[in-house]
Amino acid sequence: MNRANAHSRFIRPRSIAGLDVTAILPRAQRVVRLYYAVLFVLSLLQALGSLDRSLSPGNALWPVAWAAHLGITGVLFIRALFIAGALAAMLKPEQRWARLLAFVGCLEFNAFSNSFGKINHSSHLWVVTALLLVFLPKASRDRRASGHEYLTVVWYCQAFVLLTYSMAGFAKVVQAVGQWRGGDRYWLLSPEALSAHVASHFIDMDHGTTAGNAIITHPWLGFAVFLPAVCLELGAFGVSFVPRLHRIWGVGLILLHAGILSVMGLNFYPAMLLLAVLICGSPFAAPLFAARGEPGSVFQKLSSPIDLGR
Amino acid sequence: MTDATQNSTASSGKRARLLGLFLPAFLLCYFVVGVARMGKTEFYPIGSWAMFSTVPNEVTTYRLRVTGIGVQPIAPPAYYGSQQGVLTAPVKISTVFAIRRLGSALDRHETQLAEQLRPVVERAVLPEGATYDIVAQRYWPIEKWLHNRYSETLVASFRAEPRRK
Repeated sequence: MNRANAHSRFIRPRSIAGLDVTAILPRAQRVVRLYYAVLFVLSLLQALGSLDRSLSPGNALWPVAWAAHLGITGVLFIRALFIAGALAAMLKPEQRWARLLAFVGCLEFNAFSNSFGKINHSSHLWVVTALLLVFLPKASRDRRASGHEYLTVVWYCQAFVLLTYSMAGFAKVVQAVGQWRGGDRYWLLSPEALSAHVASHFIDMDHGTTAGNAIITHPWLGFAVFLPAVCLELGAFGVSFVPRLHRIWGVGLILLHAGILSVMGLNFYPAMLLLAVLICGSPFAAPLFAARGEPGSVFQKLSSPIDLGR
Repeated sequence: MTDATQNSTASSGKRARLLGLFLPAFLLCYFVVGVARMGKTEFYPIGSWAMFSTVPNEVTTYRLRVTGIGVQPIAPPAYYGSQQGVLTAPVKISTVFAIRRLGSALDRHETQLAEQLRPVVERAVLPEGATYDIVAQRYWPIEKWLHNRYSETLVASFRAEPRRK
């Protein structure tokens, strides 16, 4: 065994250790290409909206502190950088400079859009995964070793995305223990928990949704969806080690965001898109569409006769 | 194996080892810093992801109400959130949170932070020459939403600063 293979064995997560690099690498490269294509669409949607806002020096987050003194020029530069970086990475995803530019543009634009009193999280995952993808290796003479590195970086992107959902679940459990010990009337296991969250959010926004109002007036309805949602969040990081669950968990988390949108009116569409690309489109899970004669596609398994065992 | 191939393999092995240290360390650091910052100001782009983690019980929150434009009083005052009269722009959750931070800073006599937040809130919410109050409201969310029950105290009154062009 040569040194490169020994090292790539060291960094390879166990969940992807036994997989066939030559079969999975092209799928992972397609996922990365799709990632940057979606990032480019997002950059157009986000950077071309609400052009009237300018930064104030006291509130600008650290990556855009330099732009706060430049007025509208700085803001326009940040928007242009976001679009240009995403476009470069979409056209040249194999070039590190293009991926680095995409990360810097994404970091700067999201810092800008979060410099107005509250940090929102709908696009955070794009910033950090764009940073991780900068570390994708170049194609080298030892194609197998660089293939392992490539897959490892993609796997860590997935693990990071799923980790953040587990952190959200973990925070709910930590606060629940505190509230339960403190004797609060409502806490995580109270039937009214989701109703109180929804009512509090509706008061802030001064408008409600039909689904949200139904949950406020029928708290048990909320209880029935809130606890499974917390379990879905808590288990997310563990799922990164089980490739066959990637797609199903990705769909579950997208449905969670769809539920939040219909109940609370909070739109996390950038996070939903990222889940669709990285987790539902996981290169480590069985392919949805296999080439003619290639075994293992999900559709092939679904269409084959059911094996009832012996 | 040629010298060039050996060199390439050795450097790719070194890079793989660095990556193997960096990626897990990054995930671990993100988790530790995120959890450590739970309930505190976030260090962008690291988030604690503690969203909807504390179930609201009886809450105190801060709201902004416009009481006049120039010398013209507005009665009853127009609350940000209840978009009516002089406040017609759509409600933004970032502005709601900025108002809360301003109210909290004023309540805790954090003058410097309040002075930083005032221009952000005024630019996002107020027409030129407006006078406004920051008030503290205390309520149980479900009761307020369903029956509009709450108590209110005045925290501070201001006149919006003229805008920089």
